[in-house]
Amino acid sequence: MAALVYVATAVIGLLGAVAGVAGMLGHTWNARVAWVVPLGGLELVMDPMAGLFLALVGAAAVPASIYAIGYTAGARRGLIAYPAFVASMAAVPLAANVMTFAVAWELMSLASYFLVVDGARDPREGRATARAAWTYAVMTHAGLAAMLTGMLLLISWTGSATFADWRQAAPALAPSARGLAWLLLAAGFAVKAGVIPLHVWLPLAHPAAPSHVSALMSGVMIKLGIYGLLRASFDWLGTGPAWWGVTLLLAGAVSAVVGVLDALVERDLKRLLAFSSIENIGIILLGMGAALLFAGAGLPALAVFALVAALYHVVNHAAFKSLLFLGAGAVLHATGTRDMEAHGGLVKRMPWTGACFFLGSAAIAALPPLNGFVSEWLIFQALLQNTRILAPGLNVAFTLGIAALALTGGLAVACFVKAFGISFLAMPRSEAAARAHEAPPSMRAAMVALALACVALGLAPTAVVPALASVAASRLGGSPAVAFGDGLTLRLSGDFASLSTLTIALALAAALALVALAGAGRRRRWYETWGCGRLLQTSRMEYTATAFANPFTRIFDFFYRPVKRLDIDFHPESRFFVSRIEYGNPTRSIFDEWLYRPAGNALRATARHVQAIQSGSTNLYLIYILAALLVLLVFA
Amino acid sequence: MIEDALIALSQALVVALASPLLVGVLRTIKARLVGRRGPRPLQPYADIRKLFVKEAVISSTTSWVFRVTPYVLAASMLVAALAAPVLMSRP
Repeated sequence: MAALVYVATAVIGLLGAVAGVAGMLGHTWNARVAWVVPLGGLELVMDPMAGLFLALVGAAAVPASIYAIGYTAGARRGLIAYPAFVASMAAVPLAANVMTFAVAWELMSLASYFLVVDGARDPREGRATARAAWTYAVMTHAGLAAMLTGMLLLISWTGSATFADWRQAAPALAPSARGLAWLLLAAGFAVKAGVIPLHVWLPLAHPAAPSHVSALMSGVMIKLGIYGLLRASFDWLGTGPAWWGVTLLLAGAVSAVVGVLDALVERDLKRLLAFSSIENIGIILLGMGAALLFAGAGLPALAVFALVAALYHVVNHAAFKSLLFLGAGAVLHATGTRDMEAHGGLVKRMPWTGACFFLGSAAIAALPPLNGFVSEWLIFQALLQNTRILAPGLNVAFTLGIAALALTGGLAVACFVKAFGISFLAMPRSEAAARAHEAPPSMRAAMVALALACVALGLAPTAVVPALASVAASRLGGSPAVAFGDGLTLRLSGDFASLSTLTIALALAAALALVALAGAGRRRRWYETWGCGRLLQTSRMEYTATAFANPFTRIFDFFYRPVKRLDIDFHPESRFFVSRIEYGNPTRSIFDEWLYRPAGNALRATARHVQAIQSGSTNLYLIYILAALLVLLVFA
Repeated sequence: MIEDALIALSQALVVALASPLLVGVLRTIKARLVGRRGPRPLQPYADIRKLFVKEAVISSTTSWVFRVTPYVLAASMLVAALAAPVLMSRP
């Protein structure tokens, strides 16, 4: 029964992916069913941009659903919410009017909310999961409120609830009106995308959900936030002025750096991946901001190029983050814990999962010749082209973006060395890790498929980039005038830069063969690690996740603001005997302390004042009714 | 095209062959600056020769990552030398 539902969802995903790719290649269509959705009816339009995101949803749903067959092992929880989640995500990019979009968007949020609530595996986790789901619900509805306000404003200004009409009417709107609408829409979509400082729900909700759902949430759902931002910035309101681009660029820079810094100190494997999603959303926003600025400066070819880079990273992040979440799920399945300090040595017990997670880590750390490298390289090239814009203020913003991207790249490598190294290498740190078992075949198949996708996206950018360029050009109007490669090499803007990952891969293989040949014929011996004379080796002597991150905690202490907690219990007889020592080195979140806690307190204080008029006495309420009636009679 | 490939290959060759000499010269100069005699500049070559014939002891707690990493490291350095402008910068 459960397996049947997941297979059916996988088939739906496959169909969606095929339809999406067809749409990207120009097979556009529209459909309208007046009676399904109130106020305007169900209205779907397929265009290249919608096709790309539909293909993404579909392509990610296939491995996630197959994975779920083994992961849930026939459990019946979430069997309605999961297909609804996938279907609503597929509907969001196709929606052509406000009502269809809002219904699909809200269905997606609600279905994922139920899946998050459902994620707890035992009562101990229940409280944390309930809190995560609550935060998610509050934040996502705050976002929905902002988004709907923006949309309602646009409806009243343009007199239409159809996106195609907005496209016609938007250029005639006053700049301040367009700006306000964009700000509201962007805030709403940024919540879903997890842009800092609206990200607080993401590191709570993504780890709490079952792993195949986490993969879809991080891989695809937050990309629909990006989709909304793309529509708001390039399509519905026309292409925006420079301050939109600068906003996106700076938000991207902050999200990228803060996201990776938070990921670096995390010891919960799935939370680490969730923070890393924030980082990657930031990288995507860098590309989008650059595209907006180039478009505003009258450089359509470069705008297309920057948007291609951003879209490429969207696709890549969907591939490797889904893979990593599925890998983390396999680890959770095998050991029963997400705490990296209780993993260790898993690469021996789980060779398939280990190899796939390794590949995903290398891809997300942007190591050539894998896919993360290609898209980050493209975004770098796009940002470096900022010298063509002759506006010093904008160039400073670009430079900040470049610096942020460079710092992020370095820290991401450290972060994923930690994620893979602590979880998978060395000796098992707990009984559970020592008894870990390899994932069942369906889970392995899903991970291998995604790993192959990462390799393919890395080796064949010349096949992917032209398709993305046509998508980007469909929105920006410009033709992809930048020369996008011939055969194996990706050539950009004349002789400025070129890249051939296939050549890099071949050169690496040749060099590896050469080095291996040089090292062949050596004598090898297997022996235990030298323990400085100690006979016993335990996992307590190993490098821990916290220790690995400690140098970074010190360097960036203005951000982490670590607290030292030392708690010593002395023996009651003498202070020279210690019975227990507890040491903690937790970090504090700036956003919790400076933004959300004050906001929450203010809300609570306001609620207390409002409480005064709600005494609970029926007599008082009757007086209110009478008073309201009198006021209406007098003034109306 | 072929010219580019030849330049790249010669760069990797130069990096592979000459970098021990650079390390040796640096060590000699450092030693002289603090008043020691120091090893001769060609010492790293002798070290490498010795290391290549020594037996490798692999810890039993390690995995394939430990065995593969030295090769990957050396190979990626060589590939980086193909692209980095060591001898000449290409237009």
